[in-house]
Amino acid sequence: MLSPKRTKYRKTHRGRAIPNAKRAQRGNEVSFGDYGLISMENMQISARQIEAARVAMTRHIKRGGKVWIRIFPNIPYTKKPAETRMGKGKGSPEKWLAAVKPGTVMFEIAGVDVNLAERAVELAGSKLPVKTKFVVRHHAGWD
Amino acid sequence: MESTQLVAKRRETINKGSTRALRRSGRIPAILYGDGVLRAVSIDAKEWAHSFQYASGNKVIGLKLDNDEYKVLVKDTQRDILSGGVMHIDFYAIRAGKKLSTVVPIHLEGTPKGIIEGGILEQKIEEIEVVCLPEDIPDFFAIDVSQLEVGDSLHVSDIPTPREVEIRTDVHLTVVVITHAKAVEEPVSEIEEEVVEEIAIGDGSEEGAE
Repeated sequence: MLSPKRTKYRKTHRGRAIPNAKRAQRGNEVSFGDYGLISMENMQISARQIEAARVAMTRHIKRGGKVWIRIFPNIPYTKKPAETRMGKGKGSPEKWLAAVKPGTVMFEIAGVDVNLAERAVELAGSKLPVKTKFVVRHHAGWD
Repeated sequence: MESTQLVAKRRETINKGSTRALRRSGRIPAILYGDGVLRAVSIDAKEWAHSFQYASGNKVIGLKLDNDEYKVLVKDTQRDILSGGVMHIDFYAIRAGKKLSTVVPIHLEGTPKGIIEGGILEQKIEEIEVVCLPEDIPDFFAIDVSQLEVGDSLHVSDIPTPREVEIRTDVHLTVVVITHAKAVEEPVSEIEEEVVEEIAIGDGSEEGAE
């Protein structure tokens, strides 16, 4: 699973996924592959969900393709142990989250045909907590 | 460079409300600038979608506004990233005989040998920035990629360019590369393994608590 190699602080404020947030101002174009999966919502996606989506996608395309993961979980999510009384400080880091906004390209694929890519991306999207959309890269200068 | 016609109307009020009303009425707000001109205009969305939707920055368009006609380039197009609709367009008025900076798309020609062997073609750069006279703007730069094998790449310096066109993009940048396709590795996913481990640990702790 993806996680930062080292961090300046173990625990940070993690923010919130606000509904109706502004659209992604960066990372909103298919830049590496031929097809992409974009998020239609604002949400925080865990490293485990990203990994599940990647596995679903790579298993479906089997061989011949290449997959890019465009998001990285760098927000620590802490949790107090079960049956613990309140107080005694903040809980310990439990998992890592990646923030996505509407329009963020989360995954990209190249080297496979459009039908296979669309199905692979659909399977990956079903592993994620956001509504998703399949997008095709438009090469400049072609009508 | 072939030229095409587009009819624009002048915009009288320029604010958020009027711009939104304009979009609802099937027009796209735009601005025309350059060569001593600065006008807020609007164009028909259907006409744009029909002929100019994928117009790149090097296509000279004849923009009719009132009784004047301006030769323009599309400098910028703002799109809604979720719906794909065009929100706003920047038109840059050009003057014949005056050098300008624009971008020219790269067209890849042929199927690389490396793809037949199982490689993947990655295009790193779509457009190249050039400086030239308006009449010398090329439609596109064609690169033959049919001889590329897995591991081969082409750079900006490999693109054949006419003498009158000056390239502004870094010539060392990679335009296209043929990479290896990755084989699928894991028969059992890491996630499944970790879930199994966690369940085992969870069971132990619960027993201990009891």
